[in-house]
Amino acid sequence: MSQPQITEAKLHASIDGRLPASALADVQAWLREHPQDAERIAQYRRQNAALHGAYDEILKEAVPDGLLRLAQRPPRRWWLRHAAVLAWFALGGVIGAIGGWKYHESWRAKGVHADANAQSIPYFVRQAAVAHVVYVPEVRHPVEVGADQEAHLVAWLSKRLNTRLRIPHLGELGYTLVGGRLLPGHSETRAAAPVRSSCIRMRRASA
Amino acid sequence: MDEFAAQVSAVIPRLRRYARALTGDTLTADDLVQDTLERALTKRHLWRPGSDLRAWMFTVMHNIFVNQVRSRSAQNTVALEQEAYDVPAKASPVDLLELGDIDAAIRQLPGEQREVLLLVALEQLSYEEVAQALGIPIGTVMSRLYRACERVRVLLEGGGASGLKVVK
Repeated sequence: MSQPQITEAKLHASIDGRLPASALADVQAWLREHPQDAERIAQYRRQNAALHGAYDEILKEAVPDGLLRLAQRPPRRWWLRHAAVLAWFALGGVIGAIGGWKYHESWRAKGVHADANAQSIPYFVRQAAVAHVVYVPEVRHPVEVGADQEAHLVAWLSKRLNTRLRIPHLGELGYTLVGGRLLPGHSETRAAAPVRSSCIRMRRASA
Repeated sequence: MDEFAAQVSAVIPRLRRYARALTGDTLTADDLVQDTLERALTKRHLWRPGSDLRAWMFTVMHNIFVNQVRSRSAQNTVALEQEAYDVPAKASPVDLLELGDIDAAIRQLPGEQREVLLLVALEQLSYEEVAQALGIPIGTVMSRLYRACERVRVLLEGGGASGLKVVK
């Protein structure tokens, strides 16, 4: 009886336990007849066993706390992001309105009659959204002047915006001031004072 | 803890084992695992509940590993070459145990062959899962597997451990 040719794929599948039982007998018969292949395959098996011998220890090691905490972090990013967007919109609105008050006199007149459709989204709101997208991934440099120098921040931005700036305190709503930065406007200077949901702040603090 | 977090936590030991074998260094390996977890958590919407999370995590890790290797070799080819020479030097000169041998041998494999060999032999993923995780055709998985097994065999058998030690 002629023996079927056994492919390299089948030899490897037999090592890796991926061969159907029906094909196993053919492979074994082949290996009995071909000692060179048999020795090679046996060596491959020893190599694989050696890999387990070398690395299986790691499975028993305690997983570092940092990795466990990371894995078990609750899925809250999406709504935090939404909260942050809303906060940026709100502040972008407030500050943009202050910064661009004079310029927007004419826009306001039109805005009163504007339809409540997407076209009527004020420019400064869109700009606040863009600023949000650009700066929200920043971990180390989210702002130019941090909230720890709030007095300096207010004085500086007031001077640059040429108006008396007041930063609203949203602590009761769960938002903490991060700081502020200047933004280029359509034809005038704008500023952003991002706030952060205190949930993020607590996570950062505990990290 | 939700289902996703529970499953991710359960996979960590295997990710660490694979990363250690892949990188050959504990700290680099755990950095790789950390990056993998972070990426997986931000991309969790791409994971279909009920599908095999383990295979998907290996995909995520592979992508990060490839990017790191690529950026490292783009920035600093000298360091990569030095690294390649470091490995045999670290192997102790006279009496390498077989476990040390296998580690030294897989360090000599090209990264793409090492990945396939480790995913198949160590992590026992199916060939289809490996193909999916690495984003390559199954035929490529097989040919890399053949070459990796054979190269390790030659390295180990070529005068046993001495075949490795001869490399300066």
